[in-house]
Amino acid sequence: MNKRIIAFMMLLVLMVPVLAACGTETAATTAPAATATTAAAAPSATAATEPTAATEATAVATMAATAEATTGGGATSEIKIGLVTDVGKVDDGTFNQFAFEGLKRAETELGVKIDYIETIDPKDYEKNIEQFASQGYDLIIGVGFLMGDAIKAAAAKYPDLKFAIVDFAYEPALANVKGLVFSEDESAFIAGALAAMVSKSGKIGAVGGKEQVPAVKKFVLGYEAGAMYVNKDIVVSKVYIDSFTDPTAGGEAAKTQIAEGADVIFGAGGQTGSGAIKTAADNDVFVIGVDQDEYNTTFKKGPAPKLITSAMKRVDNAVFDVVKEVVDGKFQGGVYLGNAANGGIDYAPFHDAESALPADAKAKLDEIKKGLADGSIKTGVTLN
Amino acid sequence: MSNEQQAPAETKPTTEPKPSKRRFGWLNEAIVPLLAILTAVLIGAVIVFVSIPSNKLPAFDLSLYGSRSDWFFSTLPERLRVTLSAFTGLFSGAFGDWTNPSSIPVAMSNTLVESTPYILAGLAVAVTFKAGLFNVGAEGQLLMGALGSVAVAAFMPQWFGVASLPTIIHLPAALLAGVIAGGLWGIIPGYLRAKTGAHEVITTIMLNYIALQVMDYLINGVMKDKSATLQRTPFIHENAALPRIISKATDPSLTGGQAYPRLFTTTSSTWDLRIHMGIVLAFLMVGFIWWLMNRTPKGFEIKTVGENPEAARYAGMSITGTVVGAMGLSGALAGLAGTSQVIGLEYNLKAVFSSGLGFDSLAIALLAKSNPIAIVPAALFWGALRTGAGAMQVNTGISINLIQIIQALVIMFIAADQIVRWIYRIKQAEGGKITFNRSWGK
Amino acid sequence: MTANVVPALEVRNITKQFPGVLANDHISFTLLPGEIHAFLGENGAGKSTLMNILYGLYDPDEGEILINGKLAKIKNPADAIGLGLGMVHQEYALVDTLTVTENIILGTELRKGPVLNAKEASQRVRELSEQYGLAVPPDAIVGDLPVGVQQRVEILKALYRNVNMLILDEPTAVLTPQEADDLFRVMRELADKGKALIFITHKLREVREVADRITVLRRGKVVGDADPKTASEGQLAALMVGRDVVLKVDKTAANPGDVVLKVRNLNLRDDRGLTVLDDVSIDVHAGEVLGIAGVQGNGQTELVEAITGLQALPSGSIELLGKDITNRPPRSITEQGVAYIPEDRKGTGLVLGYSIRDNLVLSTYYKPPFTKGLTFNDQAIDENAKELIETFDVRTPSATTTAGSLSGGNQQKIIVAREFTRKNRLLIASQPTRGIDVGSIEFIHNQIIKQRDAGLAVLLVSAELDEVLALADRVAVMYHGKIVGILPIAEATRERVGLLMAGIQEQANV
Repeated sequence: MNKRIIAFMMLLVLMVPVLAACGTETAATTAPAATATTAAAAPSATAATEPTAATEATAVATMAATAEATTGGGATSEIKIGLVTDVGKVDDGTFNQFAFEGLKRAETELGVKIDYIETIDPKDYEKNIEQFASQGYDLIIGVGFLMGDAIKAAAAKYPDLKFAIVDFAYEPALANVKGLVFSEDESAFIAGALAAMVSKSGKIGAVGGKEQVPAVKKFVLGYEAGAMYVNKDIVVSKVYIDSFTDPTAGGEAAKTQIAEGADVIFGAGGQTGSGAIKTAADNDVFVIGVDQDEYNTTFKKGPAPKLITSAMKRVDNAVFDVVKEVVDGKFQGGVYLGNAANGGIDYAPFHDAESALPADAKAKLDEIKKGLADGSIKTGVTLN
Repeated sequence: MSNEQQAPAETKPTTEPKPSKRRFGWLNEAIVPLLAILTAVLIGAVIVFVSIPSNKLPAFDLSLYGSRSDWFFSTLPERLRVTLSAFTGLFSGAFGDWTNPSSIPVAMSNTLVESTPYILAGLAVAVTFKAGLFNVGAEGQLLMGALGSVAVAAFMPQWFGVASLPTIIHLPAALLAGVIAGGLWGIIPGYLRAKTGAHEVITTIMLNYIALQVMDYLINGVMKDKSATLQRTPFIHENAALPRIISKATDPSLTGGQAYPRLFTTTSSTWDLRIHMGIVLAFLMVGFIWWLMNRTPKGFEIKTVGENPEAARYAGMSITGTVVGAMGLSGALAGLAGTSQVIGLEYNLKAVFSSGLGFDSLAIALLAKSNPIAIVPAALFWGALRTGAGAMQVNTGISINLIQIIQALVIMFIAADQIVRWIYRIKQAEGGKITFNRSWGK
Repeated sequence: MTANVVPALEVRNITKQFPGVLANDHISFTLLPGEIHAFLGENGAGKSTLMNILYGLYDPDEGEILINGKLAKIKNPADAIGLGLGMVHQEYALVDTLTVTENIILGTELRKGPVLNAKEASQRVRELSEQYGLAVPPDAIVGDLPVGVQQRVEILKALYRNVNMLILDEPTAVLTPQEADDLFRVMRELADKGKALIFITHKLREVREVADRITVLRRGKVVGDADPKTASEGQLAALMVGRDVVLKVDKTAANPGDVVLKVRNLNLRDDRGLTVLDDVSIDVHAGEVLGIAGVQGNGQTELVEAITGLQALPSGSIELLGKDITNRPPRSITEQGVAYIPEDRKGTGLVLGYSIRDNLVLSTYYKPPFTKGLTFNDQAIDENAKELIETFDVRTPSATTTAGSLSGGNQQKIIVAREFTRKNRLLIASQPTRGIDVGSIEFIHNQIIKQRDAGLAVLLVSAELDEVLALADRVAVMYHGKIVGILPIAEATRERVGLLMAGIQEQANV
């Protein structure tokens, strides 16, 4: 009995490619094409402003699908953007997701066509970039400094295409690559200020990842500077851990700092940092996240009464901006520096911790942000 | 018991089945792996069919579709088309878009480049399978090979206080260093197995970690390129590089001032390929291992120890020597896989090197049933899936994990070949096993 | 045999086909309550297949089984036991670390709620063992018991499950002659109490001793029934093999020469510290067969492996033609002229997955002419195979057939062919004819005598006392790792050797 079912299933499966082939052919004829159009039309009725993803994808997907190409052709702009993630997924809660969200916004608002490849292995960077480059994508975005060499090589090979890379800048700059980097110190400065505002003990802590990585150091030092801007007597305990993937070590470091009297902990170092703030939150002290709003990632959308904010790098804004430059024809190689002035950095909402914070916290932070933006406040952080 | 089932002594020679069996013997061997692949791909197709991302389909809307199932059925043609384009994407990514011939060389080259370490590491594992050992350590041996070769390729002139060494010395030295480093990393568990009985699965796993940490330490330490932001070694010396086969001239500004060699120079982007001499080395090794296993006493010893160690000992073969030798050879091959990646493809060693090559090689050796020749198509299949995955995702937005699902299913069907035999009603291969063919189809 | 008794078991036209072999060809028989029905046949005659069908391990292709006159469907051993049919296999299914009682009740535990009712179970075991004269210590650990007692535990296990039919598959293979006699007494007792017994064997002497009725199988068919009171061993043998068989090996008196193998004071303990070899010393002369008799597992295996270099020795010395070979590597010993037929044909002697051709060079592959330079010389290997297959009468479709697909006799001929064709001075044959057909036995026995007559020293180890007595010129008996007696063949009567095998030394060492 069982055998029959399985055999039947197998048979069905066997049919799939055959049916699929029929589907493509008949799409050109009238009857099924009608279904296809209604199907395609349906979502645009609900979300009228959006050129539907389905139709566009179709256009590139197969040259054979001529019927779709004509329907899609009208709505599609000619600009194609390709995103290559670092090892991970477009919904993994890291920069990959942030970059993808920026890209999706660009798709909606700017009407560009977007595609992405999720990298499974670092040695595929080059190949995945090539995948877009060989098809003449207008802008190819790589996520993460690990892709530095691969983007550089591709940029040299395809001088006519434009590239962008998150968290990396070339020295000297390349004509067709934009490095998307951020003033981590400014982001952390705001967070540090908030930390100093809520600290009762006058001691706060920061747990960083690898000290050699400039971004980590800028976060930690910016945090210290921001705290001292609010309270120049504050004691900031700084720890660097030589790993981005060791939450236990992060947690232990946070515990030590708490034992020394710290009552706000800032974690800046991938999983290590997240481990630190999770442990700290469990130990009932305030914590500050990093990179993106960790309320959504590390704390899984709450409840997180101890997470007061996160020092954010708005990778999504940076990605959107660079796409916009391409659309507007204003793209130039070089560096995009995300800072307070251009909205490339920010602090995350207070979420569940709001009631625990001073009422004027938000106003004060916005004031500092403005000061950073107009240059009246400087973080004073320099790396040598 | 099996005695009872065997033909009595009087069985007369039957001449009929012999010639045909000889001619199509390979097909008999290959049928299960091929069907395993087919089945895995078909299941993959079903997965694509039901899990097409919503942005490639009209969204479900209760006001437009009466129910979920109406929605599902009304999107059937769309689903079928996306499913098909997933596989056409996979194909065109791996072998080129045949409507656009200029895309073919790059795609083929990428597939071959991807397959090169798979062939070598797959051979490495196959050798140990033949010897009845389960070398899970190809990963570590590969890392050590990469480390050994990059040390020589990037730093050897320095040791002698010269600016450069001639290719005739530097390239072989780099190759040899990789092979020896990998080989030693294989000999250690081999020796532990033969002398102390420590199981090679345990020891090789542990040695993988050690290799990984040693590499991390060296790349972050003495071997780090201080001028690079990435954690990587300096670019290797151009005289130590395996030549690319055909490509444009490299831009020294991208490669630490080194001008890497190639056999043929082109100015056409169509022929600017990454394929390098590593693939030739890999094919040479396939030939060598086939010859060793089938034509020489050493290979006979490896196979006998694997088939029946008791009989091997009885026949006077040295178990210790054979086990250590097979593990050393395996390590050397895995080391060569790492070496060819470093001095043929990447020209430096990054902290994020490899990740899983050595484990995929286990799957490839299984798929190829440890046959050195069959390693080639198995590795190509693996390489093609990996190469085509990007194009598939661009075409359909389907998670690239589909590839890993297909790979995992292939291995599952190989390991549990009874499933495949049962689905397709294939008889058990000959070889003294009991054939329960009668119990099928009842 | 009265006609109106309902048979406990009736089998009609059982047929079972394996690829290339008709293992059972329309076999029919009846089994009456209270009788011992012997099935006689060579290995490969289809006895085990038939019993496995009865016990529910195989499905017959055709035919039916009636139990107590009713059609029975036996799908698995549990069905068989449920229908009152038990089986004692050649390999006992006992858990060494449990007690006798625990082993017997395993799987049918009497429970008081979740608690095992050990007392009641123990009581039942005791009752059963008294009822059938099967003396066992109910609380002893099974691993500590002699084989003969373990067998009784197996029988009790079946009785505990209320079977009224019992299949005994080659039950005497691991027993001393005395233990076998004891088993026969138990069997008679069981039969007298109304149980029906099927007794599988290939030993002619035993069936005549214990059976009420004999059915002879040959090549899957019933070839005849015989009355044990009237049929002679010669007649039974002829029925079994299908032609007249010479039961005695034709040989002249030995003409011993110099000592070839000199073994002195071998001592060995196993992993658990138990004595395996106890001060063993023997000499084997050129031109003689020294037979080592003994129940299996009394150190014979270790002795032979020590001589051939497969077993490292802590003390003692072994000399071959005056040259010390103690603890030398196996290859070096082989190259000095030692041929060795190992007891485990399939596990040691052959690589079953290899072709006959490759198996025939398993120990000489590395030497010319088989290896030339770095590579094999296929032509030489092929010629070697062709020649040996012909000389040693290996029945096979081709030289590239895998060894695993041959019958036991032909497998053994491959080993004999490979070993006997080297330049040898000493021949060690361990269980050379276990589990093979009579034709092959005759052939191999003759080959061994031929080697002896050619001046080789022969060391023969066999658990079959008849074989030792037929081939040996002197008989050494091993018991608990010790040589407990060496007798010239003229003085080695079945009784004397049997007592020595059981460790009873006094009367024998006169």
